[in-house]
Amino acid sequence: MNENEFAELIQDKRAELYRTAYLYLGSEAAALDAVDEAVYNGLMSCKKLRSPEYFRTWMTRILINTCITELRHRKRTLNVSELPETAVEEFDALPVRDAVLRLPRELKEPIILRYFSGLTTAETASALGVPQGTAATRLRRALKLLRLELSEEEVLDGSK
Amino acid sequence: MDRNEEYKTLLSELEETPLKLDFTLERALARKRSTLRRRRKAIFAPLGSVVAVLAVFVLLVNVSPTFAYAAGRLPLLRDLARFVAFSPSLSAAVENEYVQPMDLEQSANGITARIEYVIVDQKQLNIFYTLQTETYEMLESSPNILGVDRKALEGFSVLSGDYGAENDSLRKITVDFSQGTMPEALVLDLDVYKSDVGVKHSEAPTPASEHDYLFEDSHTLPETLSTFSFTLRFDPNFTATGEVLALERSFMLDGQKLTLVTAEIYPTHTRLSFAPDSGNTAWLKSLNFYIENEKGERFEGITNGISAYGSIDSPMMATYMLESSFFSDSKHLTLHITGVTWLDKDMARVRLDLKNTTAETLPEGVDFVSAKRYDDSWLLEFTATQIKENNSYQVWDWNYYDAEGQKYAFTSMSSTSAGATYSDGNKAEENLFGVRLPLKDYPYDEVWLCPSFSRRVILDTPVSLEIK
Repeated sequence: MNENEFAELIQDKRAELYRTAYLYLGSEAAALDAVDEAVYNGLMSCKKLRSPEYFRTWMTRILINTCITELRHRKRTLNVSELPETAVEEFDALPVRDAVLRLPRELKEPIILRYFSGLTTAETASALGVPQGTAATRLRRALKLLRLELSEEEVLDGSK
Repeated sequence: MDRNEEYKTLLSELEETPLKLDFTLERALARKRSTLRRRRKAIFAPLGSVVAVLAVFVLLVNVSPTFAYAAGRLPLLRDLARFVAFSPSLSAAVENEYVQPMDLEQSANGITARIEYVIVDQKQLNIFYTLQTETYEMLESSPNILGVDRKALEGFSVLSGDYGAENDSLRKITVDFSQGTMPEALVLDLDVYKSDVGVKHSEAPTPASEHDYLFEDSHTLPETLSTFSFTLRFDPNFTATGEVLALERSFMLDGQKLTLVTAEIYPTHTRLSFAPDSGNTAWLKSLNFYIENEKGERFEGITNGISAYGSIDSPMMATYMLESSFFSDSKHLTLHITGVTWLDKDMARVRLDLKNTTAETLPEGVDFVSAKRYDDSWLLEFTATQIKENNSYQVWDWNYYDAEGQKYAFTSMSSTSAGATYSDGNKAEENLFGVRLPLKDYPYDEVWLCPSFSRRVILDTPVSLEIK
């Protein structure tokens, strides 16, 4: 993929990337920094992406890696830590946004991608590098912890 | 609210994205250009010159306080380069070391304000500063610009906004002189107050409070924690910089005659001034354009900053700002106009029937959705077609009139994002954004509004003008 193709595709994905980063990191400023970093990294390595149909999952992967790095750097200053899956009552007491932020990482990543960023389950699995069945199981566990019962109609349209 | 409702609310909140996100690609492209340039420099620098640079560095640190200061704060200079990455003109200024270090610091009430750098030329001043505190979580500031004798200055605009800026991070104030030139020195008064970032996020306005907000007389700033006053003195080499090209070139644009009077090229921006022809049937309101040099480099119109100035005696927007070609070493520059927005003179004011929600005419792409009466006030809602994703634009000017020609001014205007839900429960289409206008203490059933434009034209063949 050349730089012009990257520029064209990334314009449509900015909002989706921002939503993902915002839920991952919990603040507007951190999300903007993460999107900036991810877009820069994507721009620098877009020539390596041969099939544009994988752009969405490829870019999502870059963003998640950026967020993970950012979280590592901010670990000492962030006042937010993950809760274990057994902390059902604590999850219940939190607003959805904060509950998502405090999910264990293996549940947080699929729930953000599938239910907030609008990726399909297959794309979510691909972006996370896990089998589709694993992604589906983690999604079910996360939904249960968040006490969300979402039909397909209520889910953000993954094709947008 | 049940959990699913909470999820839907959160989803719709996340549809609102910060303006800064619009320029993420531009920042990435600027950063890539800068990285590649540094790499090229690193590859081609012979060892001898590295030794020479080290020797010069030691010498400069010892004899030049300015250089010693800049070198001591190199990490911050890198921050400056990152901070201005959204602006091709300011990025080029930083890359070309067109930066004046200031090193001014004041502390009061647990807050330290530092003026780190300015980028200044004949017409524009960009002040880069930080606010540091251990007492407050986040701070915001409001600038006031004065002459060195503390008397008011005229003919300038100030653009600032540090909402959400983190403690000790760089912030920017832009002072742009539309009339006259940059003085040798000026005073910056900075009122600092506690940010309400967290408060706004957790307390989204309810429909009732939004109504109160719209009809409030004014929105006052929080209590000032500290006021700092800095005298900024500029290096005359910087304030003298700029090139003015007298052109007086008349041309036809979409059936209207205009004259490109001057092109001014400064390190921080380029500005073009146009004059209308008295026989025109429409006023120029905005241009889609760019300047290109002989190397194919393009300098686009400024989108994130002061982009145009109006005319004193008509609704025309007469002066337009573009990114600067100053550091590009251009021999030839050509202006290409690809589109234009007009305000037809017969649409300077349009009548709206509030009782029946009808309008005699409306700007292109705008619909009159509703008019709701609240005692002696009205709340009008419009939709307008987006011309760029996640971007709204001004549809109406700030003044409106009654049947007798009495002038009123809006106390506030608000716009909602594409696909937003309106007060009647209807949802706007995805490509439309909403505009709400409160007519406070306005008991009449008709009103005359002033459109900001009437139509947009994309030219089949761009109009090209040689300016250098």
